[in-house]
Amino acid sequence: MTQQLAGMLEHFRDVDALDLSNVEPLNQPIPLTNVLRDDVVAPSLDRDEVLASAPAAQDGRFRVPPIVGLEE
Amino acid sequence: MSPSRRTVVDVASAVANGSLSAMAVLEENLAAITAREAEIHAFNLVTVDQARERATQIDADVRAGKTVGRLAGVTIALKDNMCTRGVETTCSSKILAGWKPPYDATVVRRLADEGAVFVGKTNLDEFAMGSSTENSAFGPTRNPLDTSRVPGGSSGGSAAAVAAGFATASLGSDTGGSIRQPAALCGLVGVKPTYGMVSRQGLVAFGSSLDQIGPFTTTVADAALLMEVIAGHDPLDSTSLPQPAPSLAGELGKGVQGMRIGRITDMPAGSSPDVLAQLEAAFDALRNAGATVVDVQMPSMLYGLTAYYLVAPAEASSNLARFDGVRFGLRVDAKDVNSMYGATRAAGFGDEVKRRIMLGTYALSAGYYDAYYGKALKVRRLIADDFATAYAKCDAILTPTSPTVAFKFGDKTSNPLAMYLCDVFTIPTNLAGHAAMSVPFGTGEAGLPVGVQILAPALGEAPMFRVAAELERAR
Repeated sequence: MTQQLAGMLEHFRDVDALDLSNVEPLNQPIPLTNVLRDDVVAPSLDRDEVLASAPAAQDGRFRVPPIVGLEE
Repeated sequence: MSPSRRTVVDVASAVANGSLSAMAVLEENLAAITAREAEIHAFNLVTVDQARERATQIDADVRAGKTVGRLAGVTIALKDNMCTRGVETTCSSKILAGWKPPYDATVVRRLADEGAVFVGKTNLDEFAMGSSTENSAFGPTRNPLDTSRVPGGSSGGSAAAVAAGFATASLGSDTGGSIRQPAALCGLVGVKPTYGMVSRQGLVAFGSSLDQIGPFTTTVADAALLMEVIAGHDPLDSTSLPQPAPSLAGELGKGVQGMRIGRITDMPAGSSPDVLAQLEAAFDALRNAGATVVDVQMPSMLYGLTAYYLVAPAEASSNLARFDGVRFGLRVDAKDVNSMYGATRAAGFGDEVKRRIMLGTYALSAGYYDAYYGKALKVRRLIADDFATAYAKCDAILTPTSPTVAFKFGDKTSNPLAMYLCDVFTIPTNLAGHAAMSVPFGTGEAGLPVGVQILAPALGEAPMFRVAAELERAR
């Protein structure tokens, strides 16, 4: 995979042939910015249904292995 | 009438007026699935019981004189990256195996509201990353027209399902050609709508600024009807355009008299002669129908590959961070949370997904951002500018959809770049956010179908469908 990635990065240098100095980047194609909705309460997903598909849950929360407190 | 030749339009009207039962349509599909699915592997899951329940309900509604929707009894297969409430949604990845979403994608709700019957979830390249459906964690899909060949990808299962008569129509998603290329390779109509026209809510994200959902059908009229149902503003998708769904059925009979069709004079080389011959025949057909063919230039087209294979992996590397073994799908347990993330991803993602995540994070990393991701965004602008110049001179552009007809299994799996080159004609549309579709037009090598791609500007679905209908009449 290392070789494949190196080959791809080499291929991607083809754009070095282009003069991009005065070109503005295009992040996304549509003229919409900061789309917000009215701040009103609306129904959302059922918590139990969401937690039911998690690998582990406890007390209404996702359960994960220790995050802090483990010394190497 | 063989099941694969039933059209969406015919089924919907016959079921609604009671001359055909939804169950009869479904049973035809299920019989075809029983006969050939073991060989084709179009589906990750066939939802037989739910489909029969639904068909029964629709037939009861028709008998009771209730209003049924515009898609009454139309059997539809869904690409397995669209969320279906309570029905497993895997993206053909081990990391999501077993996950049952707690909600339906907006497109799923819209189809259901119009009376569609879902037959199952179709196979794809893992997380829609690929052009042959060989990258699925659950094994490849075979092309029903020649099972020694790929159906294309990434929506290969959705294309194969319709081509094999397993469903009347299907939905796929298109990030760089993943609807149009399999449509071409399986002899179907496939539409990549304007970015923002069809809600992405409930579509598992790959490249968020590129992804669009669209239909696979056997006819242009069917594609138009499905677009009218699934398109239109959705407040649940912040990139959804404010426009209502376009009215397309009325466009189909208008013809192309007076339309200007662009021919790209500096089109990237490498297409096979059989494909180029059909493209020429398509230009002739449109000319004979009263259109004018005009020369346009797309000097940036070839560079679209580089821009796409940096932008899409960059966005994917961010989107796929959510698969961390915490909220859904696979978890490989480990002593702390960081080791758990690593072990889960190492076991859950396939090689192509890992390749693209690494490529994406590399392209976005501090030392290489300007050299890769930053440059890719500038090339993206050049492509949009080239299109703007071209569309000042024409209403739509024709190209091949794929440089070749369906290729054999294993032909391109050893060299990712060769696989990426399949998308050279489809990628620029996604980068620009424009509309495009593939329509079958003649055959090439080994009698396999050739797809001609129609490109149109943003919100150019109406002229695009006029051209598509004309090509369908001429083929």
